[in-house]
Amino acid sequence: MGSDVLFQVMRYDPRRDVEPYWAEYPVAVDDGDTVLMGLMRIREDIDGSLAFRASCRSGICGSDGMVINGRSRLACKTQVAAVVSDRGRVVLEPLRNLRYVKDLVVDQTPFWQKFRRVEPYLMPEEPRSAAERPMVLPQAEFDRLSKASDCIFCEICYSECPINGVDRGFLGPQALIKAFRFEFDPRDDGAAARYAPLSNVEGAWRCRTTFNCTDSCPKGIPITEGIQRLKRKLVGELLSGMQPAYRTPMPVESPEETSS
Amino acid sequence: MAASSHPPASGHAGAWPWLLQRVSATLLLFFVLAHLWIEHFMHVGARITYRTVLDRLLQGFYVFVDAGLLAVVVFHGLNGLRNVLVENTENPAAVRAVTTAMWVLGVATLAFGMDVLSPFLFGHPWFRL
Repeated sequence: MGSDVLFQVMRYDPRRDVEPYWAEYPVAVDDGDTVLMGLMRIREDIDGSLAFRASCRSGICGSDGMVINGRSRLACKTQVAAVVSDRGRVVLEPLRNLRYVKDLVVDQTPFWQKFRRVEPYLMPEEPRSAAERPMVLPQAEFDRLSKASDCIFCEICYSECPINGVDRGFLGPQALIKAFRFEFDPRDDGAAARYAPLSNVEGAWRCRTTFNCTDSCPKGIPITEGIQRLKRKLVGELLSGMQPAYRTPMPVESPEETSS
Repeated sequence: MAASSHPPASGHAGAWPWLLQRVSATLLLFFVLAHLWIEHFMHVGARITYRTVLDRLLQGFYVFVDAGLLAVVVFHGLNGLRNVLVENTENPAAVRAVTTAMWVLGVATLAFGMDVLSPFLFGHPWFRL
């Protein structure tokens, strides 16, 4: 084992603690060790009560998003050596803009509700057989949409977005980039169904193009660019007189109930 | 947690301020460049007297640039200010109040600005104080 690095972790168990507090753990790390490996050592060797999410350990499942030394990142993609020089220690907090559940675990409910609100799936005008309407995506269109399809639902963009911080009703960058992915798919005819949730004061128009989402996305998705293109498409639909196709409302929690 | 109904979709809400801010920004570029060109390059060396200024202001092109610049500046500035003021407000009534205040302020500013030009255009000011 290499040298000891101090992990400073925000701990909070609402059943036991009055308020969050900092816990410090010296962890032996080797060159190339990730923050997630350090967390696993803490849980296995020092304190088994530490709560955090993790699954694949290889930047695919998107489970282990957390604030590492002030920025939201994936713990499995962040090497200790890359961040420890900032403060001489590794400081870990839960993702922002979502309610704390315990330690580094947050309540993902609003995130998933907003994702579902934009109806993130292909909506062909009318279901037809493959013979009548081949659902082939041309290569050029695939290249245009492939980065937006890389999203792993890690919530890092949601955590870094300042608008999500001040406005709990805002759809957030992840829902908008997913909407972009389907709105620009030539096989999709769901524009009217998505128009109401997207062209809304809590939808695409609430984005202030701070680029925090693009900067922080661990998959390198140009989220802000996608949202801007989505806005231009919505303007085209507005000027063409598109009538929103209002659908059965989906029950969601009110912003007050989901705020932290 | 209790579930509540989906917030009512407000259709085009937010689209027009976004679009018009970009349209007015583009127009602003044209009018500012035209204004700078007129003021600094079109009449180099000419004597500035009341008569020459009057002759200039009575031409349609100058009236168009001056009035257009005034309208675009007022709209672009107040629309931006409205965005700042409602940034942290989720109360629809407060947003409506700010929007109304911006319209009143904008129309009043336009009227005041056109009143300055009105003696040249109509021979008398619109508003006599």
